[in-house]
Amino acid sequence: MSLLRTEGVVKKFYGLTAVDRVNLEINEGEIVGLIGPNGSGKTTLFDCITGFLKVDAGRVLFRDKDITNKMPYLIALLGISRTFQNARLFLKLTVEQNMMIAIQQHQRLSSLTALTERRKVKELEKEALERSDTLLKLVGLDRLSQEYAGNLSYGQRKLLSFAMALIPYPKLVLLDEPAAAVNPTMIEKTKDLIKQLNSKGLTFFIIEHNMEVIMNICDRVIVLNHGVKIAEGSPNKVRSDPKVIEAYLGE
Amino acid sequence: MVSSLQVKRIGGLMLYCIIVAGILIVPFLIQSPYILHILILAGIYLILAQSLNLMLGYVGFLSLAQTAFFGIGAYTSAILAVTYRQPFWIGLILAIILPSLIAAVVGIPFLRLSRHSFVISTLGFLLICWLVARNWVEVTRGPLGIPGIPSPTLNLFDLVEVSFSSRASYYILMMTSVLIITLFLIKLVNSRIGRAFIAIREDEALAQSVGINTLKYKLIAFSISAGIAGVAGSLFAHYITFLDPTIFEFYNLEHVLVITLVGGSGTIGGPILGSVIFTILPEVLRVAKEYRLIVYGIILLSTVLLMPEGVGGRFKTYMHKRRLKGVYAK
Ligand SMILES: Nc1ncnc2c1ncn2[C@@H]1O[C@H](COP(=O)(O)OP(=O)(O)O)[C@@H](O)[C@H]1O
Ligand SMILES: [Mg+2]
Repeated sequence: MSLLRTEGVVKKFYGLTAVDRVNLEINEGEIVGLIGPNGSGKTTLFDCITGFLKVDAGRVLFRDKDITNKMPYLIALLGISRTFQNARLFLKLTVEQNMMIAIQQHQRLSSLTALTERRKVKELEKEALERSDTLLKLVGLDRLSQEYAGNLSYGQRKLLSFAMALIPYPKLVLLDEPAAAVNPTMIEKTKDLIKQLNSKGLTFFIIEHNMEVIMNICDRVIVLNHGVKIAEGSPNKVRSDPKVIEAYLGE
Repeated sequence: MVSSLQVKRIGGLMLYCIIVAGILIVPFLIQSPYILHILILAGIYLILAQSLNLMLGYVGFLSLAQTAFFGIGAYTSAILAVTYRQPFWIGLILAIILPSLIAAVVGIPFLRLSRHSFVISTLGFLLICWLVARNWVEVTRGPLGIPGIPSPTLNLFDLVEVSFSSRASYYILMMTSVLIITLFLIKLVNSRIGRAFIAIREDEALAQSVGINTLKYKLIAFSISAGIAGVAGSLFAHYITFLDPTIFEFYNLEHVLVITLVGGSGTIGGPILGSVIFTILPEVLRVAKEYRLIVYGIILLSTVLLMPEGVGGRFKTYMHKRRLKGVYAK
């Protein structure tokens, strides 16, 4: 079943067409890679899917429901999570506070109750702490829960943003370069994590330059060049596609 | 058995009671009307500074419209009391509701803007309010102003009537309001809603990506902050008993900005500290009046340059670091 579909998505920045009539489909349970030279529009495409940028034309469908240009928070709540290329975090807060801020937003609690009912608030807070701990253990950051996010290494930041992306109970996770500038052990950890979560039914759409990662975990790869989708298929097929080789050589 | 946590709690509660009692006992110890006058004004500016602090310190949006909501609250209260002969309490309630509603409406376009454009749009709003107050003569009496705003009275079931016409009684009314608002804000910023504010301040895009409806929370904060500014306005109008459009002028804005920035935004204690500093300082500097503005300028500049997080913020960071050290030492 198709989980995500884009139909003729176009995004222009002034004169530049960053994403040019892109059609693609992600099926439930897949791990799909998105590759292409620098500036080929990969991040822009993610922004269009998640509502951070308004598309100029085309549609985005999630489970056959039109989500084009919806507010980013609504898209997150519908089940599409993302990470950012530069691993955005609440840098001045601790690792645990980063998790808690997000987790508590998803607990059912009216604003009024939050201000008046102390016991209920305490109960939910405990639940949230447990969830934070579970997710931090999953990405291996539980021992750093009291550290400031700003003090984490780049790889740890990416893992924390990964954990945060899992908070809204997503069906589909978009990862923007999870392995870039990350040390090899951390890359292995990330790969294992993606595979493990995928085996439990989570679908991934991943931008990545590291071909070893792409070859290793992706079922299918989509290639962008100058905003245009130029190839699609199994990692092996795509890697030997002359159009793809030409796009990368032209860089 | 009493656990150490309970001891701490009881200790905290006692400390709290002592502070409250200390604040409320002041008018019985200090009979000087001048000092009480200074303290009452300090209370009004503290409430206004906290309303700015909520937007600037917690949501990260600098709103120059807080003095506009202050003025709207003051005018609402004054007009209801003078023109419509309504009791103070009705005026006070409407001085909260009206600014909140206006903030919710103008907030929808303003809060979609970038942080920088938001500052400018709130400045524009303040200027418009000022013009309206000057030119809508039928309602505001324009530059002539509204004289004879009555002192508040509290009517308890037609049995007792308490009047807040003396300085001492107004001081009690003022400090009670300050306490209620401070407690409300402490509760608010430590709640789930408060954490959403902080998430927006730290990184709005990230907040959205984890599912926070940032526009909604920004509107909530703006509305609440406008209501708080309205309370300050109402208390101001009924204290000074005269109101004219100068309430929208820059003096108020500037004073509140200085209190908030020097004291430190992003903590509830910061503006309190700022209020204390800028209540005592002018008095100390009275001996050297001609240097007053220079000293003010130097304090403001050095805080902004050396402690951008303000005195209160610096203290908080220091305490936090000490606590963290403790955690690692274990
Ligand atoms: N906000 C923006 N304003 C103007 N141009 C942009 C903006 N974001 C991206 N671009 C341009 O769009 C193109 C695609 O960028 P991007 O999607 O970041 O590429 P990729 O992620 O594939 O490296 C680039 O030429 C980039 O300069
Ligand atoms: Mg990119």
